[in-house]
Amino acid sequence: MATAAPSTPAFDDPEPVVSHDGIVQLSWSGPPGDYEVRLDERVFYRGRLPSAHLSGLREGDYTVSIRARDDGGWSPWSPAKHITVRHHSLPLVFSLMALGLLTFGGTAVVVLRSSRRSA
Amino acid sequence: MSDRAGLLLGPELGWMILGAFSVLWVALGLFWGRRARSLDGFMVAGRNVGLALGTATAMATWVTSNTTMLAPQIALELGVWGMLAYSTASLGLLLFAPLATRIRRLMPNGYTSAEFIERRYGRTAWAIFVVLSLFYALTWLVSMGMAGGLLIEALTGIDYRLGMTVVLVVCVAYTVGGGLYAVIGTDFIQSIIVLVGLLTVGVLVLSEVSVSQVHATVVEERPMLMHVLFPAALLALFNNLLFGLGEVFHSNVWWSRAFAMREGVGGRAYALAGLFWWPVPVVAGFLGLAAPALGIGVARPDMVAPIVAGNLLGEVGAILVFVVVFASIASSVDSLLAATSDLLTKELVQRFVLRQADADTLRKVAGWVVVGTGALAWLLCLPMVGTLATVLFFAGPMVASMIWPIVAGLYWPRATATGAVAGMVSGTAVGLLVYVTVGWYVASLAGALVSALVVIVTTLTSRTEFAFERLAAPVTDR
Repeated sequence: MATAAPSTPAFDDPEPVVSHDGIVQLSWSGPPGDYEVRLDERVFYRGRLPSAHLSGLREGDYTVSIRARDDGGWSPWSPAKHITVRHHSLPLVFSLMALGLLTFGGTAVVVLRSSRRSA
Repeated sequence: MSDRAGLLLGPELGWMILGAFSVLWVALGLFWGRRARSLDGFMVAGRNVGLALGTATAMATWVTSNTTMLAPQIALELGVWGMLAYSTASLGLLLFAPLATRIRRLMPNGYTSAEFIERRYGRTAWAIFVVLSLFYALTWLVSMGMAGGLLIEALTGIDYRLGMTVVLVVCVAYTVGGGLYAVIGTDFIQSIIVLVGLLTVGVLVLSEVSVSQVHATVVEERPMLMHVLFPAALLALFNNLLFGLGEVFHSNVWWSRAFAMREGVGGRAYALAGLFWWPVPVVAGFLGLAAPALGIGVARPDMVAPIVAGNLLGEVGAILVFVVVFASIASSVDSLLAATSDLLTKELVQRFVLRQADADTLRKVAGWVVVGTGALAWLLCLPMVGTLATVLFFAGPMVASMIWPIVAGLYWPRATATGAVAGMVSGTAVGLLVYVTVGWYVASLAGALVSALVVIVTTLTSRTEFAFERLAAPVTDR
């Protein structure tokens, strides 16, 4: 007698997500067993835990879906979850880096000069 | 891309290693701490710590679970820039070196950083500083307790709550028994284990997978991690640097060591510790970047280091990582328990509850405060809120806003209480707003910048001059 395929896992949060750093944490509920996560057409994660961590994504729109496997084989792919990656603008980044350099540089100069004077 | 978390050691072997090292740390702690009978012995190790122990304790304390567990996570999330950003935290130790020398000279009888803030800026600044400082200390402690539980669960399958409980109980036991003597003594052994262990893991990983393989796979699967213009990672660079600076400059963990080291030792010890520490997050971070090349699926980013080492190096690698991370967690949890206990005992218990208590009574109270702090951390670790990064970086704006009140207070006689209070409050407020609206990777920068501007402007417009000799008065004059 053939064993039935497992039920399809479902994302805990199926709503579309927007990421500004190319990082997305996924989690889902499903039958115990192996899972696969597909990012567009490529398998990104294969494992037994019901969560996966995506990072390093370029700017763009993606879809992810999951499926589960047990002795009965693979379940169908879940409905796709949409991910939009919009990185921070480089002018904003460079402006903040300049402020960071100024703040750190100022601190370092004050500490080193003051400690030399007070020695 | 297999994920074999939890299957690497098994609970039985896990309990054996956990038990053996727990006994070792408690025995060593009690041995090193047998001289901690007086208040000075318990809180500042008799103020006689030399260069070797001073360097080792500073380095070991800074090699926290955050370095060994969070650095790989940051590398996996923010790539090469993230790895370098994490390593800039060594600048916190290097720049604290001259501060440590001055702190020891200005306050030869000091116990806590809050004591400095009160004498320098008064009660209002003291109250704000204590609140921010305690929040940070608990955040750090909780992030490490969580790291301990996660590590043990990832490698052995032992339940998160049980592993986390063992880590906290062991550290509380020997810190109560031996105070800062025990902490510094165990730090020395733990720093050697961490350095040798990490070096071994690094060499073994490189023998299994080449740098070019790691590079090629990451470029294909997670391209932004190798991108020279990765916006979030570039933002993290100065943010991490300023976060690290704020952590070291304000925390009683580092001030208590400055008080504990012999005159003239602190500067050299902190500088050496910074130099020894710098490569540690680079080696640890490489484990995170190696995950895609090794075909390891990452379920949770804060478990990537033990999973990579365990998958790659098998049982021996998993044991090695277990021991290294357990040592690094213990070396930080004990330091934090001791320093937070000093802060609570001197700044809250002695001030508001036991005003007339003698040194012997305070010594006993300090032990109970360590137990209470450990119990509170345990309660906060139970629900496992957020990832390690989100827990820790929430405190970023707070600590960054304390950099300039500390620096100006130590060196500039015209720095004012108004500037310190306004700097801490406005820096924290703006930093937290940025944390919520933009992200953690820019919050510390915002906090430090706003605080710096406020402190500089109020100092330039001030006409009063502080006499630094007032900082040297015996603590009983408060």
